[in-house]
Amino acid sequence: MLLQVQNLKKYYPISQGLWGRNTGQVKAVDDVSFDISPGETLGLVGESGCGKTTTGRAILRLIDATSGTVRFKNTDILSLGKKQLRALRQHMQIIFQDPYGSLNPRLTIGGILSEPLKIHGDKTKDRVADLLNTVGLSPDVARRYPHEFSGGQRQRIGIARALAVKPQFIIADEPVSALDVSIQAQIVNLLQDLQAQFGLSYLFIAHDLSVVKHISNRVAVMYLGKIVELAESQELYENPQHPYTRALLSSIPIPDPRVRGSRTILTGDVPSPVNVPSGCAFHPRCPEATPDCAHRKPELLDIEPGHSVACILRHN
Amino acid sequence: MPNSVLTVDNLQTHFHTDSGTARAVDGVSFTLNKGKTYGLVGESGCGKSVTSLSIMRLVPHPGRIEGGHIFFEDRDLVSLSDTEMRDIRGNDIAMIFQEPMTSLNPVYTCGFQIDEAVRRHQGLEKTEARKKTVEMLHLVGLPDPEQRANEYPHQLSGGQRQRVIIAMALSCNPKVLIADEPTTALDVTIQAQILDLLRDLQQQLGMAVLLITHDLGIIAEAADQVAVMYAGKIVETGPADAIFHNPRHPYTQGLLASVPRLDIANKRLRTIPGTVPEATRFPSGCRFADRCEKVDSICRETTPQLQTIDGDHQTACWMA
Repeated sequence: MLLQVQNLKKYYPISQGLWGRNTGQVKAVDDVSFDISPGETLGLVGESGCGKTTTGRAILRLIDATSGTVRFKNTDILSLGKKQLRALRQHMQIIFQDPYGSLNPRLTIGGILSEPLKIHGDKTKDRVADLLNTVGLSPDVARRYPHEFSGGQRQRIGIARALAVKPQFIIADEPVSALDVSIQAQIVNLLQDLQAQFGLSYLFIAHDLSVVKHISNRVAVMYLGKIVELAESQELYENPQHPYTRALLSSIPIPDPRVRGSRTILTGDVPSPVNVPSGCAFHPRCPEATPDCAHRKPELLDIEPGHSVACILRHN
Repeated sequence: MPNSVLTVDNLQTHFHTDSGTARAVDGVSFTLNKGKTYGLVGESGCGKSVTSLSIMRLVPHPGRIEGGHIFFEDRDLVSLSDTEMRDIRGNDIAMIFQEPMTSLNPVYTCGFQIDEAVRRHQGLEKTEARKKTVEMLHLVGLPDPEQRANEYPHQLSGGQRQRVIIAMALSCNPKVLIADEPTTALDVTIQAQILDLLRDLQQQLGMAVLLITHDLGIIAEAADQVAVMYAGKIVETGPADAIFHNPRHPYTQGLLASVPRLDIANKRLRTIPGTVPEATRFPSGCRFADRCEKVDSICRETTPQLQTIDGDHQTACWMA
C-alpha cells in the first residue's frame, strides 16, 4: 500500500456570539478510510461541500486533521514534525483546480519550476527544460510569465511544478474543471501518460463523474463528509448500489440526443453540513428511504469483494 | 416561417481594443422557433455569449454591433432606440445568466426584485404584483413561495436562486428566453432539476429558448436545433440528432470525441491540438485550419461558407 487513510476526520468549530462560544461543529470530513496502491488512480467524487477537497488537503497536511491516521509507505504523516514533513512532501504533491490563482504572477515559469528544486536541493537549469518538455511545452517558455499563457498551458505548468521533485503520489484537485473540453482532454491524456512514464499514483478529486470514470481505477463517492460507495470504476458505473450514486450517475446528461429522458431526479438541495440529517445523511433526498434510514447510521461495508456501500438497504 | 419568433441575420459584433479589432461574432445567422430550443454550443471565447448579449443589446463597451439584423416580430432590434429596447428587454425577451450568485441584487428581497419587473412591464399595482410574484415562485417549484418572496438572496441555496432568476425571467411571459449557461455554477443533481424545470415551463408557456452552453451533454438533452460555434462563426448547424450522430465539421467531430463518456468504455480521449486563435488575430480562410487534421491549401485561402448537407443540416468546411 502506498497510502492508507484511516478514520480521517476534519471538524470545524462554529463559534457564535460575543465570546465566540463553540455552538457546534461542521463535520467536513467524517470518518473517511481508503487506500491507494502504487501506480493506481483513486477517484474521489461528490458535489460541492461534500468534503472531497478537505480530504485531499488533510492528507497532505495543508490543513490539520481532527483525528485519524494517514500512512504514506508506513510513515504516519499526521504525527510528523515540521522537518520530516517537508522531506516527505517531496514524495507527495498537489495540482490545483485554478490554473490562474495557483501560479505566482511575479515569477517567471523558470522561477516557478526551480523553487521546489531549490527547496529539495536539485540542480535546476537542465531540470527545468526537462520538465517543460515532459508536459509538452517548449523550454523557451521558462523566461515568460504566467499571464502570457492560456488556462490549459498554465495547468501544464502546474503539473510540471508538481513533477519537479519526482513525487510518487499526486493529489489532483479538480485539475480540469476550469478548462474547455478540447483542452480538458489534452490534460487528462497528459496525466495518464505521466502516470505510465513515472509510475505515479493519483488521488483524482473531481465533481465530474465522466472524467473520473475515465481516469480512475477505483472510485469513491462522497456525500456530506462520508464515503457512501467505493468500487472499481467499471463496476461502480455498471452496477451502482447506493441510491445517491445511482442518482448522481443518472443526473449526468449524456451527449447523445437518442438517450434522452429516463432520469432519476433528486428533489431538494444538499443539506448544510452544519445540520447533518440523523441516521443516513442522504435519507431526506433518497427515493428508496425507509423509516429505519432516519435513525440507523449505515456503515461502509463490503457487499462484494472490492465493492463497499454505506446503505442499510444493501446490507443483509 | 410561421413559427419563427426571432431571426438573427448575419450578425457582426466587434470589440475595438487597443490591440486591434476583435470580431467576436462574425456573420452569425439563425432562427428561433416557437416552443423550440435552439442550442448554441462552443468553447470559451467562441462568441456564444456575445451573440446573446447582442440580441439583448447589452454588449459591453468597447463592443458594438457593426452589422446584421435581429428581427423580432417585424422589428429590427439593432435599429431600436434604448427606450424602445427597454420595453422589449425583460418583457418580450428575457435572459437568465450563469451566475445565480451575482445576478440578484443582495440588498433587496427576492420578491421585490420580481415585483419590480412585473410593475415596470405589466403596470401592475403593488399588491397585484406581489400576487403575480408568489404565483411565479410557486410555478418554478420553490417551496413556501410567500415566505421565500420576503427572503434575501443570501438566504437561498444556489439552486433556489436560479429558480428565483427563472421566475423573474418568466414573470412577463416572454416570447423568447435566452439561457446563458443556466446550470454551469450548479451541482449535477441540481442541474438536472433546473433543466427539467426549464423543459416543463417551456411546454407550459410555449416560449422559444436560446440555450447557450459549453456542455455537449446539456445540448443533447435539451436542444432541438444545434449550432456549433468556433471563433465567432457557426461552423455547423442542424437538428440535434444530425449534429451528434452525423457530425461533418472536423471541429464538431473533435469536440464530440474529446468528451469522456459514461456510457462508453474507457479509451484514450481524442484531443484537438493547439488552442483557439486570438480574436484580434484570426487567420485568413478557415479559422480552424491550424488545428484541423484534414486541412488543405484552400482552407487557408478562402473562408468556407455554410453549405447544406441535407435538410437543414449545414456545415462550413471545404472538406465535408
